[in-house]
Amino acid sequence: MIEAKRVTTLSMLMAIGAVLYLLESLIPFPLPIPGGRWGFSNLVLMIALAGLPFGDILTLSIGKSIIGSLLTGRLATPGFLMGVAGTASAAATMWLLNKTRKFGLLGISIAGAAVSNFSQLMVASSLIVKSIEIIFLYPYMLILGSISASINAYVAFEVIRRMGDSLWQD
Amino acid sequence: MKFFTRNDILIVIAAFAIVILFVFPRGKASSFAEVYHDGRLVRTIDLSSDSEIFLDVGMVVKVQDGRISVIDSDCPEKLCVSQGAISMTNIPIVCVPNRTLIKIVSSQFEVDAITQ
Repeated sequence: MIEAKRVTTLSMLMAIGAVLYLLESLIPFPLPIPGGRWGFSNLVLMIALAGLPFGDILTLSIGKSIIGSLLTGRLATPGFLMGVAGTASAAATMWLLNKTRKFGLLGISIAGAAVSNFSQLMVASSLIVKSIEIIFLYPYMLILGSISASINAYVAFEVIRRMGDSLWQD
Repeated sequence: MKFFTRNDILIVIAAFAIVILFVFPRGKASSFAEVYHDGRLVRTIDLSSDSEIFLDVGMVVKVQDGRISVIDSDCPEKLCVSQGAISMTNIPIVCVPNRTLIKIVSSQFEVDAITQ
């Protein structure tokens, strides 16, 4: 892929991710976790998996969190730290699973959500609440996260199926 | 890229297993709740009598019918208030801005002592 196209695609996905981040914060999240979100903005990570290198996916995940939290006014809150840790670890997990070429988008997405939720709770328990008890919220997050992860996987699959080639080839 | 492969079933099963492992309540709920601040136990509350208690961290908790809830807090989002009352050991009330956690103590040890 030529450099200009890579940068443009990355920026475009980051913009979409930031907007999704803003929109999903309007959907109430039923768990008592600060900055708890559905995670629909991770949809752009799944689309990026198909053609961008790992560094770009990591940039994308952190970039969309920073821009999105600027828009929602959550920058530098505990929820933001949890979100960045979650989305970056999800990006790494999804990239690794995708590398093995053994998993479909659904499995990659659910595994990403599970790791993301886990690292969010780890950040909350080690830096903020200083209690491991918060981990008991994990199954509830996992159920909600799997729902949004499945939706993400389906939308990403349709996007890649319809326009994958025009996104990634010169 | 495929949407679904056979290996995905493993991931879904693993996720289910984690949920089931966690959600089963560990032990019956006893009639005591513990309040932790910064990971240290700061107060034990008896749930057998109804009361309203002001906590130093800026929260007011209410005990009614053996259930405990936070009815006021000085944190911005008040997620702990909207969580409502808890009476089971498997989900605590967490207030991240106040770094406070309220959980119902499991009476598993008491049961074990009796059965032994």
